Amino acid sequence: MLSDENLSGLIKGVNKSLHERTINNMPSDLRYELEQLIANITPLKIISPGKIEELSGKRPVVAVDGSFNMAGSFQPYILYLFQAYAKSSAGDGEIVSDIFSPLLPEHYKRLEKLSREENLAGVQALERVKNHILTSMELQAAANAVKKYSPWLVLFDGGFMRFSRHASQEWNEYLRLAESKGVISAGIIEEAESYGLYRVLNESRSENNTIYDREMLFGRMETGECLMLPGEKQIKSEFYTVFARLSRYPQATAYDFLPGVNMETIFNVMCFLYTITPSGSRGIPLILDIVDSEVRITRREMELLLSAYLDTGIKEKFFISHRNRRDY
Amino acid sequence: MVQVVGATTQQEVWVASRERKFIINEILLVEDQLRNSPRGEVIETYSFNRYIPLATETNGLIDEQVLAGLKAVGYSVDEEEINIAKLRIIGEISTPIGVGKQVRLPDFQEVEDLLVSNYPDYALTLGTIRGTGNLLDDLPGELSDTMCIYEQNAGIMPQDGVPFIFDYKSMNEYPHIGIFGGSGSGKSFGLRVFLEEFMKKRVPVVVLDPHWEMDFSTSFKGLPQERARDFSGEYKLFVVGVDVGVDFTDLKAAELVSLLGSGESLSEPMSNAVFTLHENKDSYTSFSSKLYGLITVMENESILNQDSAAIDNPREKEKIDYLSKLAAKYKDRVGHLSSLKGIAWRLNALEREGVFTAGTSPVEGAVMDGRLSVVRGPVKLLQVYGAYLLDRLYRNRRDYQDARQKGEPAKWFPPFVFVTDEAHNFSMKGERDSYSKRVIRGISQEGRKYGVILCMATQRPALLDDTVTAQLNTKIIFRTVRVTDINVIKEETDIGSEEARRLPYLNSGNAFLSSAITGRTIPIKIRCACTQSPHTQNPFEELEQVYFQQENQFWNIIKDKLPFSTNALHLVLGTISDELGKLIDHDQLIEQMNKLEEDGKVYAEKNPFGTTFHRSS
Ligand SMILES: Nc1ncnc2c1ncn2[C@@H]1O[C@H](COP(=O)(O)OP(=O)(O)O)[C@@H](O)[C@H]1O
Ligand SMILES: [Mg+2]
Repeated sequence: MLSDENLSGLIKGVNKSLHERTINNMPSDLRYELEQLIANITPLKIISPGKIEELSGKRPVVAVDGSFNMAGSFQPYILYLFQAYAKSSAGDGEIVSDIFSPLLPEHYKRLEKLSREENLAGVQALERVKNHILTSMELQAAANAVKKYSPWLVLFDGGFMRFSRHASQEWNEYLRLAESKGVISAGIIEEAESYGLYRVLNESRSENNTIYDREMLFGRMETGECLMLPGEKQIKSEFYTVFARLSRYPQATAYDFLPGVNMETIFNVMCFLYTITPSGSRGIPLILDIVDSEVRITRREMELLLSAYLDTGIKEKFFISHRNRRDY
Repeated sequence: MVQVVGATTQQEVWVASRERKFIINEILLVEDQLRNSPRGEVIETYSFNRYIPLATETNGLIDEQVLAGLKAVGYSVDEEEINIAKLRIIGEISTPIGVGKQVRLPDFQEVEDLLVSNYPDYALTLGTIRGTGNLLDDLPGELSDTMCIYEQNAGIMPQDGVPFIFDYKSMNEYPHIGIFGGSGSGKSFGLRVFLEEFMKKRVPVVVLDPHWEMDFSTSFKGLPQERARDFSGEYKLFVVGVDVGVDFTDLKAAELVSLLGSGESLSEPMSNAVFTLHENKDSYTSFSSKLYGLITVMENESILNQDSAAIDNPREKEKIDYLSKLAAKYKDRVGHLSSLKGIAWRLNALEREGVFTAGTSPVEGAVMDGRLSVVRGPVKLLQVYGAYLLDRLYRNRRDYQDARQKGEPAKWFPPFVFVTDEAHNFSMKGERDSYSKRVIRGISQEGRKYGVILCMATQRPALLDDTVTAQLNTKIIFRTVRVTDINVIKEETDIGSEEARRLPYLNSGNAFLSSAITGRTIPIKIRCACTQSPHTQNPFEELEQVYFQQENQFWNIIKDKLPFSTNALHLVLGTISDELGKLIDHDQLIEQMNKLEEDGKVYAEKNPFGTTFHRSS
């Protein structure tokens, strides 16, 4: 690595700038509103196994996550591997897997059609298709698990917005199924970018240096605290979002619930999630961390899969970029 | 279900299973028809709960309530264990094994060729092959129930795997054995098993026994009757200087120099003097007369100035004549008087140890008879004597073979095995050329031609002469902790880095056998010996026993003299001393009484006149 003093100077500049950007530099009325909001914070309780059984009616919990990997580096020399997994706490789980490659004629046609109809550039179309495949597979796995295990609660890794945006048809089907089975669904958003807390607090404001929820909530909540917005201050009309800090890690996490779920149920589910989150972890319920690690295909495993099932010539010709052939 | 989950190299794959724990060294079969279903040995095992670490970025534990909470919805995270093993494929395969291939335990027939090369009737049953426990039920009759196993905490156990049978006849092609391992790792135990097996096969063996432990008269404690074996008549114990020694007349000057240098090497002038004085076929008497004669002359030169013709006493006259001749012949060549005195002193010491009173013929007889000779003696002497003995036996065998080659008549002398512990003392790396080193080196390089096999045990393979180490075609490696030794082992054997990493942790009696005879490195557990060393009492237990007896004796004497007071001790001291059989004074008695008080046997009542000891009720 080259070490340039200019670069370190620039980084120091970023540091300074971010210091100036803290919550304390917020306009005072905004701060007041945030404090009002914080008044809504309620502590969650660790609940007993007996209480959990009572809440769940002894039905299991399903946790859903998806993963995708990419071989190759530019269109059309790309092969995507998708996996979605809905793991049941009571048994194995449901796996769905798929691949996508513009090199395959029918896949190529699909891309082309999308490009044409929506007037998208190739890369954008590919991104769309990818998102659709992944989200619809997750929903498929979740639906299979709901049918098979009749769970009490389905936890998704990620917010609901992804589903309604990228796979609206499948999402609606899932919602119908969940409703008919009386299943509670929750989406856990670890990387809380923005849910518009800021906007909620201050609809009239139009400053351009937006403050993200991440910053607003960092270090503001104690372990085990949960922020449930009063009904009139809903962030997204489609879902109901709750913020909570479930471990000692100071960053709060967001939880999407479906509208129509009553507050008491949400509170109970949050207590359950708090109970199953290790206090020394990043603040994610353990079972979700588990699905995440199970469904993920590491680079190394990906390599092995490709080497095992693609002929070396094919692999080299189509999916190894020059960049990967470099030795360093 | 066991599955291949990844490959590291062509020869190594990772296999995983949720249900089954892998056993180190077990052999598994990969169902891969394309590659003829290769077999592999488990060389590393791991079991872990892959989820525990997820939660533990900052602290080492998952909170209790998390596990309880998940259990309440039916999920036991603590049972999410995954077993992973590294499998080393045996034999060559041309392309890597695919991920996802099924793996299973083989039947005995499917691995027999890898494990069994011979049967107990024809070769040495040394122990079991580790990791073969699940093949036990499949074993043919000749291979089942052939031995017992000894576990330090469980005692004698039945055979726990496929027998390891050492095809000793192949040493004709690949001679010599090295037995390496730290103190307490199982070398002596392993040697004992080797020796028992050689006795069973009536192979002549000579073993040097510096630790006085190789006796075969005591049956291994707790061994079932049907496993016991009486070795009497099959081995002989010899003590250097009592039963065996040096035939002085047969000594060469160089051998004599080595013998004299057994405690501390001879100085240059001393060994020169020996070379000058010693003549072939010198007897002990003729050699020592020359030596003492010269000393007399050099101490008192005037003795030769007498006119011998003037001496009346014919014996005295003869003596003076002898001394004159001696002086004329050697005086200017033997160096300084002090060298001669040094030689005389050493010669005398050997003589006093009885080294020259007996010869090697008792051992030669036992070798001829196909028996085991156990040769004991003081460590330093044994080392030099051992080399001398080995040299002689080797020469006997060589003379016979060479004569036969030339078609000349010769007295038969059998091939034999020579065994020693602390072998690095015999053949030390880098050290100057010693007698024992020359002998061992020679046999390590030429012994094969004559059927003379070395078995060298040492706890310091790094100190063993490289030339010799390189000639040891079979190496048995027990627990080794020292890095320098491990490095030598890595260089000199084909054991892999996984095995090398395990060397410091092997239990006593477990070893890796790396041999040109077996081809691949085999992990073995040496069987329970049929016999044990007669003196295996733990020295600390011995101490406890002695002290306990002494205390008991004291208590028995004192107890009916109680109570007595410290100011009236003189009344009891006399009788107590009498009964103890040794004098005990006032302070010693009080000290002993205080000890008894600590033990709760007496209690001390303090009063103005001193302390009165009472017997506790
Ligand atoms: N094959 C074996 N099976 C069971 N225990 C053994 C075995 N070999 C050695 N041991 C145990 O280890 C101890 C030390 O072994 P030993 O052969 O005296 O070690 P070394 O000669 O290497 O110093 C023995 O007393 C015995 O308890
Ligand atoms: Mg020993």
